Amino acid sequence: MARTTVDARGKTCPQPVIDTRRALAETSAAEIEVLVDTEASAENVARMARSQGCEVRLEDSGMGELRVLLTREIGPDESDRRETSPVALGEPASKVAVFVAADSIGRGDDELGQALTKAFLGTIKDVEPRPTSLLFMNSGVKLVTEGSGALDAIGELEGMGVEVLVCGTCLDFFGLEDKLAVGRVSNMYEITSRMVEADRVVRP
Amino acid sequence: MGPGDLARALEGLDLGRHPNLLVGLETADDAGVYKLTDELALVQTVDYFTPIVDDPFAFGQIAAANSLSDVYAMGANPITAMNIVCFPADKMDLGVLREILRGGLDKLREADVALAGGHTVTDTELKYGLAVNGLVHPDRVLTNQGARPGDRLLLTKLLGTGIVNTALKGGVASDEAVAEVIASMSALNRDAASVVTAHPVSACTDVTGFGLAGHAHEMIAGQGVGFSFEAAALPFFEPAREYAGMGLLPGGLQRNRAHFAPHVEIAEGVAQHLIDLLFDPQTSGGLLFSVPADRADDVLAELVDRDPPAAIIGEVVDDPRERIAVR
Repeated sequence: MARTTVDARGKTCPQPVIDTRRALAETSAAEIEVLVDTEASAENVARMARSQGCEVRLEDSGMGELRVLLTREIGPDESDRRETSPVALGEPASKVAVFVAADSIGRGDDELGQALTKAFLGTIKDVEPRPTSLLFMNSGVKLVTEGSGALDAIGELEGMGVEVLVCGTCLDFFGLEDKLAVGRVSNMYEITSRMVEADRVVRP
Repeated sequence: MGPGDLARALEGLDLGRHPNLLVGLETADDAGVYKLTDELALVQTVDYFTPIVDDPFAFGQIAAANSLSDVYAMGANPITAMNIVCFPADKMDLGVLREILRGGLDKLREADVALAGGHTVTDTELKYGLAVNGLVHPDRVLTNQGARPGDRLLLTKLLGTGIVNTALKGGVASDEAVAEVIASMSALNRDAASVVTAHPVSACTDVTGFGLAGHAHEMIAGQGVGFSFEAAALPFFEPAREYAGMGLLPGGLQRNRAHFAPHVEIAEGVAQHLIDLLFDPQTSGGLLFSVPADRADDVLAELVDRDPPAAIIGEVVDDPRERIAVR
């Protein structure tokens, strides 16, 4: 993680504080080093930094130069100060698309298959990395309509921020266009985009 | 100049002995007082500084109000004034100087003070202020000495001009905060002084560059008494709280703190911004004075209806001796 340096030496108060404030707002660096030449400036910068949630360490070179080292905590609540891209959080970007193309997993027994699907949807929220989108096609759309036993599980995933896209054509085919209970109507283009953009496509 | 540096510069100097000099440097009072006759004493003071606000007219008004304040703080009536100007004529338009002087004249007119002249020099840095003369009855001089245990301490105007002006310099202060502070700094202490002189006030000073703690210290040093301040009663400009939290503190605040903190005892739990406000250098601040407890409410009642506001902020105590306790 890069460290930003703010050189406020020779600047009269409150410029060091203003420069530090700007640096905190404009960069996403975890560490900011502020150079000042008076104790008063060092104390003011330290106070500004603490009020913004930083940890502060002061170093005096003894030659009239003071270094104020600010360390920011990186956490989910810092997102208002930097881009929301997951890269800033130090994790690799991970788009997981779950493509549900049938209301039954596997072949052999339909009833078993449907029970497995329900179980799958209840489990997928607990496995990392979490899905970023759920895509429903063909008989899969039966899972997101009224009467489906999987509504709770899918609703929970939606509540966690997972995008739930449902093929409109398929809903129409099964006469379920008015029965959508969770997620939103989508189209081939959007659903295909999600699959292509994803780092990983999970096909139960 | 910081209080420490000034003290060191004056150390050991022989100030001479003048029987008619009723108030001189020794007590670090607001003005010098020289007895002319049994009924009349001359009051003299001088003050000037670099711009605190951007508008030259407002700066002129503030500088004049600030200079006049020291005369009021002695219980005296200002009569004449002389301008002191340092101006970078090669870099700055003379129109700016004209506006500053117009601001100064505006305040002098309000205070009924005659501008008797002045002195102007070319300088790399712009400064403005005035030397002021006033008159007072020799027996009715209000010095900063004489506070007695049991007296209540009152303060007029709000604290925090240093902090708000620093925020202004940093481009962070709100327009409302700036307007409030400018109005306060350009307000004369004349009305407050007229109320104060009508009551048996024991000691009085005005709060300026050394901050509340510094000027309070001048009132108790060598007097055998102490002050007790109620932190929650300190009146201040509300925006200063936020600005102080952001570290927008003037250099003068740290200097005042370094010099006066040894004389101040701050109780646990006093909020940081209130501690800052104790040491915040004030520009053209209010009057700090002590009044016998049984008259304090009357005085407050007369002042509270006026503008600027007044508040009881503490009392004079026996203990801690020659220190300021803040609780």
